[in-house]
Amino acid sequence: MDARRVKPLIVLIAVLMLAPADAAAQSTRVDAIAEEQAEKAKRLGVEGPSEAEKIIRQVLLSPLLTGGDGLYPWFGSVYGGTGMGLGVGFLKRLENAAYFNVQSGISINNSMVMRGTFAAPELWRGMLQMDANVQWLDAKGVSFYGFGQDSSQEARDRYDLNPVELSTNVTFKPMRHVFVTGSYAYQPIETEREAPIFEPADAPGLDQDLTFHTSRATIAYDWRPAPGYSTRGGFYRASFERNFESGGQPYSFNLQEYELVQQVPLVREQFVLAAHALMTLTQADAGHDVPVMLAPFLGSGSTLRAFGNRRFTDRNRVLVTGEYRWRPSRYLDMALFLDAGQVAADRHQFDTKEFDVDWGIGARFHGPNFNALRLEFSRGREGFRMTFAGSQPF
Amino acid sequence: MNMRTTLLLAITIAISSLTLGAQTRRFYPDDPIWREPVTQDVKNAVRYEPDLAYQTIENLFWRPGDKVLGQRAKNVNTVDEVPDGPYFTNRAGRIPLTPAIVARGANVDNGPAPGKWTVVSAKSDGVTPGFTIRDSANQLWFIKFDPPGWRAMATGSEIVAAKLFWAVGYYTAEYHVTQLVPSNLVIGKDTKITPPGEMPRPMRPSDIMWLLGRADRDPDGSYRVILSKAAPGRPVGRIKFHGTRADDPNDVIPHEHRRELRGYYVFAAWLNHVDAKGINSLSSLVTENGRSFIRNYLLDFGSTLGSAAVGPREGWEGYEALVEEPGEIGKRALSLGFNIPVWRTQDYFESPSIGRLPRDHSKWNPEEWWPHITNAAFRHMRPDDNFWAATKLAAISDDMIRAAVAEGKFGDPASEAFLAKAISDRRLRILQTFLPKVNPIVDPTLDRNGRLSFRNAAVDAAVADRAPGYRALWYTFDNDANRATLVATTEETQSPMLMPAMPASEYIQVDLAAIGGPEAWTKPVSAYFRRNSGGWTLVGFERQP
Repeated sequence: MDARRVKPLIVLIAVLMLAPADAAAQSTRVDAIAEEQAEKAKRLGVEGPSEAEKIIRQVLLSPLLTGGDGLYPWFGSVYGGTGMGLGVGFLKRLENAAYFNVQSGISINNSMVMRGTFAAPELWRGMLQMDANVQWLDAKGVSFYGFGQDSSQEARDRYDLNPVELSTNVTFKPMRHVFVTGSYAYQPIETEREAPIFEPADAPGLDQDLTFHTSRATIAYDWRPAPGYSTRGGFYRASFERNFESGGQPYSFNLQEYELVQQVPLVREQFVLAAHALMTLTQADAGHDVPVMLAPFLGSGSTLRAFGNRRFTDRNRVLVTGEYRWRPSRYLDMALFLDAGQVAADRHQFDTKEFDVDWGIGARFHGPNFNALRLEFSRGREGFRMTFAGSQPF
Repeated sequence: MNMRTTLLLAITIAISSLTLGAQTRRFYPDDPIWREPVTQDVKNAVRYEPDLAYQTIENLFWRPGDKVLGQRAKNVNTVDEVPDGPYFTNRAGRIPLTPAIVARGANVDNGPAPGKWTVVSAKSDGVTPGFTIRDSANQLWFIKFDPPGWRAMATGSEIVAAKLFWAVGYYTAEYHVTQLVPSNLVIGKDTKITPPGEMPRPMRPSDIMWLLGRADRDPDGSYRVILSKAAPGRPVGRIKFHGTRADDPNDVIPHEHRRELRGYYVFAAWLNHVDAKGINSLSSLVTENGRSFIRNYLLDFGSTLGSAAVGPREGWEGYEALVEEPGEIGKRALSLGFNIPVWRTQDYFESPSIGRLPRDHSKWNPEEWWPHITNAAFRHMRPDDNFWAATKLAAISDDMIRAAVAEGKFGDPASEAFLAKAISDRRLRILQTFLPKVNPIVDPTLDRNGRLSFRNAAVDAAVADRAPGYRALWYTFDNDANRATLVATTEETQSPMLMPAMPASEYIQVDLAAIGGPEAWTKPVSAYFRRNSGGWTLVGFERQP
């Protein structure tokens, strides 16, 4: 026989002989499994995180999420009405829950802020809180529509606001839920208008350099589980404020503010009826007036929500809000709301027939004790508005 | 025939014969096996602690594991049971359990050795504290506390759950309840602590008092604690519920296809173990009989029954996942809230000793139970896996449950009685739900006289009415070819049934189904018998999902 023909046949016979031999090697179930295990033993790896897990770990270790020290991205509001802001922060934690935090941000309308806070929130067995703050702000295009509820939407003045603020707060908690706070702020303020609409007499304080020394006393009773987000409890506050203009300008005034928040949960918090009332009253010194940039206003994502930011400004304001909230998820609350507000030059001029009213629907994405995102659509006499915010409306 | 053609032909024949050999032979002489073989030494296993947040995200959004759902569990033996192995050892239904055995559980000694306890580490995050100590015999123990105002709730629930998980077959730690007097703690010379927001530093006595300040304290200044003994071996990680461990040669079956990990859902639902996730387990490298292998323990049952570890169980726990289903959220959003989940409206029993549980479990649906985070094994679970788990629970008696509850030492007879009843009621609901969902025929035997006997697990558990009758299809079975040939069909109103005249065959197959009864019962179960010297031995059993 030709050797070239014999060789393939030998190979074929050899393979055929080997094949049943392999199959016969698994003569028991245990053998069959042992063979699989022996096969795996030849290609063992190292147990550890996948690439995706490594990335997630890195992200989760960032100070923003861990609450640890270091740099973190910041997003929020530079100043009301200036749009979403982005920036960077640096947090340094100290003993006894104290911390030092600095933030710098810029908003979509080019407004900028830099602020630093030192806070010691758990002094004297948690009964005493102290903080000290410094802030530089450059807010662009802050709106002023003139004083009064009947101001025109078209008569919109814009000014740039440049305050520097040094402030400190000391809060004493004599008993559970009770907060007594004393505050002081030193605040030089510059404002500038490029194309003034209102005459200086109709826009007190604008285009002037003012320096305020503000002293404030606040007493509050807060029995909400967490101020950042809650579904039950209430918050009642009274603040008394003295704003003294030290540069000799006629803008010294007193301010009183009363606020009430009440939340009524129903069906084990499936529904929440929430109410908010806010009244701010000012009394200028004799011959003085309340400057525009410190005057009470309505119109924003947390006051009259269907109206532009600072749409109504005057020496006094009152706001009443009611919300029907329901909870499709533990992380999402929905709300139907109704706002009614009014500003007036004199507290005696408030008239129940003159309230501006709006209504709307909102969605709030939240954690157990904080609000992450609030998205609302509201409708009032000046049309629809959409609100994006990071905080609760009240 | 040239060399190339010959080689191709040879390889084709070889592969075919290997494949045919592997695929056609159904039963090996040693079937059914009751112990999972461990044939390789685990030599290089390293400790890997999975990230909890990653696991959460992974299971919420990426759904790891085999994408093909509906597959039969791959680690069952040929009679559809789970062999003893690295996760599970057959106890309930397999060995004679008694209340005393269940009460003892995994305990092998009487607790820490007398003397001071040396703190070697402390849990400084979280709401309730925890210490790791060494007793005077150098044994490592973990100390856990109750949250203030909830004496015995977390610690008692943990013990009860551990005893019952042990009884059904899982590996758990040894637990003891005792009183801790702070003066009995001494700080180890190398012990460090990392207070929140601070760098690690040596532990001080004031740290211990600070940590104890977050625990429930008895009027005499002592603390009720549980001690769990460190599992034997070297920790190498946690149970993963999909894939296999890369460094374990014995681990060849993807975990989502392990029945005991799929069935873990049923037991977790039973005990409301909402925190049934990998991080609450331990994989330990142990050496026994000269062989090193990985054994997996279930740990940390503080969030079971009426306890959420840091407080009483929240209403939603057990009814919804950590993140609800998007469709459900949408429906609730559009309904203005009037699509109200049942957990918001039902009545609850609440006490400081056991926490909060629904007062009535008679309508509880175990199929709608949710852990905080689901996993691949739970997603792959089939009705036959649930049935398997339910048969284990059928072997747990009310007396055993009461014995386990007594071990919790809640010190509140009324609440203990309620808790034992709640566990029994939930067990009953599981039996009512999962036993009738498939053809519940179990334990078929064929004696030398050709009498086929079997039980109906659902009827035996009194959760279903008897079927009007049963039909048996009798086959001769060619094991080498994995081929059955129908010989005859017989019908009877109940077990036993008589084998008809059958041709000589080493194996026979009997397909058994109910005539009438629930639709699922008409899907036959297949039993395979091998002739032995004295009669017939059951070698195979398969149940349709």
